[in-house]
Amino acid sequence: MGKKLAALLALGLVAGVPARAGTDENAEAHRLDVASFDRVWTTIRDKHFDPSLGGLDWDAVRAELRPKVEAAKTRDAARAVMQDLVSRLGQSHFAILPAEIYDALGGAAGTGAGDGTTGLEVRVVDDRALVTRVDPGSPAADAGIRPGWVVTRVGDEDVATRIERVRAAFADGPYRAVAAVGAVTSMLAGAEHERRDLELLDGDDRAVKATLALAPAKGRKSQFGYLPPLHVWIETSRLDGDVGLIRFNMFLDPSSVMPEYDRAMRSFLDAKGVVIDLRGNSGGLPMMAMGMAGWLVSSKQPFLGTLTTRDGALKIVVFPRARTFGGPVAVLVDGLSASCAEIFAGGLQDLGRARVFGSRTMGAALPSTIEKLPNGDGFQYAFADYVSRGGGRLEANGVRPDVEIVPTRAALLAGADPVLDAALAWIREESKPKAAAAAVEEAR
Amino acid sequence: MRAFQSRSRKIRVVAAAAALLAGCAVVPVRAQETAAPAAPDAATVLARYVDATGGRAAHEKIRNRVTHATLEIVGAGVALDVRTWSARPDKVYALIESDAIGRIERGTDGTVAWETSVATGPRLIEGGEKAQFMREAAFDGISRWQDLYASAENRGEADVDGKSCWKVVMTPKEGDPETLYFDRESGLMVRRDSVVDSPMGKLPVVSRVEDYRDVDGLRYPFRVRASVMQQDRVVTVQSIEHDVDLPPDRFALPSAIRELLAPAKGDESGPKG
Repeated sequence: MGKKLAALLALGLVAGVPARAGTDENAEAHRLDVASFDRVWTTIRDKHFDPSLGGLDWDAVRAELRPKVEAAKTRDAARAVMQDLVSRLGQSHFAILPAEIYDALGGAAGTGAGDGTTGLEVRVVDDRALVTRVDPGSPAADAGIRPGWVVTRVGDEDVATRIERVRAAFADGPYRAVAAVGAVTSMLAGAEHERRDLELLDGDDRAVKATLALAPAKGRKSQFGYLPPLHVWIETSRLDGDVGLIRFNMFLDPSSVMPEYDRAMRSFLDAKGVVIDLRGNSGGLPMMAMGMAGWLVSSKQPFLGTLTTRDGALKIVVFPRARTFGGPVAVLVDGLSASCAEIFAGGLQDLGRARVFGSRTMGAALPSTIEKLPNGDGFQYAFADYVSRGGGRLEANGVRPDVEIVPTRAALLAGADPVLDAALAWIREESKPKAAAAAVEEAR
Repeated sequence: MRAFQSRSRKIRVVAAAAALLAGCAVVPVRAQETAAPAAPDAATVLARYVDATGGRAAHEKIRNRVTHATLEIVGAGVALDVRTWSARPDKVYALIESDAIGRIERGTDGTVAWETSVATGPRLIEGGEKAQFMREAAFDGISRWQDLYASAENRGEADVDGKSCWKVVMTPKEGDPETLYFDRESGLMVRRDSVVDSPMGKLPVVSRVEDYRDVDGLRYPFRVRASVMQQDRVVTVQSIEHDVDLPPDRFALPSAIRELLAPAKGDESGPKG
């Protein structure tokens, strides 16, 4: 959920929010903003997993900021005070989600706005928007855009300028990387059939222009609580070399994702290895991580990590399936792998059940919920701390891959996926001794 | 007694759903204890509760019960649909559905306790969790509490939301004690403090039991408010039916559970070389 959240926040930074209108509306809006501030302050005081709030003098923070929200002339200004309030904790999964941003993305009612896609997957590398993947059959693929190209302009807006602006706002904290990507992604997003005029650099650094008509986003539109509607997808395939591959973008919508995951794992039971690609996966429900890991771990009730609230601790346990996969498992991650994706990758790594490839994850692993505030904004707050099975705290630290690989532009232009390639090479190596042993056994 | 059954199961569902959502803990609602007056013993309080909910004879006429409820995670915009079938002596099947977390089934055929969830997969309910589950599956649980609990003790008067109550601590033969609060005036239970045993850990739960209504001459609570791991849950009963024609396989074990029970057969798969 972190990626979407950051995308929302990134949008919030660039979207103008109207000032208050008439006097009566002003008074009511002001009252609701102050009530929202009080709700946020009280919720953190009463529900934060650390009653001491890390030594923060919470009463003093309130004394400092409440006059500011009382003096705020616009919702935008009041929201900035509330954002300041939650940022004092210095932790992920504490955020104010502007109601206007929900509306801009289709809102809780799901109007369909923002459902269009170019089919481009982008990462910000060296402050440039690097195309890392082009969905087959998408408008971008049809236009001939390839991985390794750089998006420089969308419409009238310079991409680098936007990245710089957003990164400045997220100077610290786990959302910095994802906010930059979110800023670019939001420029590319829009309603179906809308057009986006793009300027790019191709593999030879030549300027290329393309106009793309946005296609329907892939996956199923899903809604969890007060999160905005999200498109959730899962892709599975059997690669050359007899390796199963599973990719999905969020640990959400279990009714559609889990049956496909289960079907794939059942079919991979005889594979040489399995790759679970969590690059860009923004997390979701820990219960899905528990169920997915159940295909990979056969020991009795192992756990991936521990959630701790002020009232006690809960283990993220795994329930092994009747038949489990015992071969090598590679998990692919990057800086946009967040929350539940980190719980899954870090837990399997700690169990010694998976080798993790890619780049360090976001480090935003606190379990959270989103509640609606009196003024209509969303308030996301973490209700528990999380420590991975091995004792490592993922918050702010992330999961460090066993094999660190950052895809380069040159590799992408050459049609390679260095992270996946490394994982496949490892699986081939892991399979060799067993293959040899099996051959010897057969010869007997 | 069945009122107790129904309430227990609803509370249980609250806690189970909370655990699966990985978000729970309890805001303790402290009952204010006062000097104990001459108190009846726990057995008397429990017997009065059975009477207050319809009486032993009326309860014992019932063969099975079907309950439809909704479970709301307050403030989070998440609601679950919960249907529970229960039958004598100790059979239960519960179906929990929502777009947010998918389908969850839980049940027991009287011997095996199990759960299947689209998200977490199938599992056997075992150990202390099973003991608790089976205790709550007992159709006549409160009237035969001596079979299920090692002791019950009336600890005296306590105030719950302005009501004078008897505070009864029930210690099961296996598991953590539960504290039940019975309204001295009506004899009805109004609050339950318990610790839900789960593979994830132990979850303290404080539940408010409210809105008793008559169904076929029996009284059931139609609303249970629970606080679990810092999040509030509300179970609202939509309907309760008695003596429904149940399909013969209503409490049969699902195939995924039977697979888990089957003898291990080289269960780890992987590269064959």
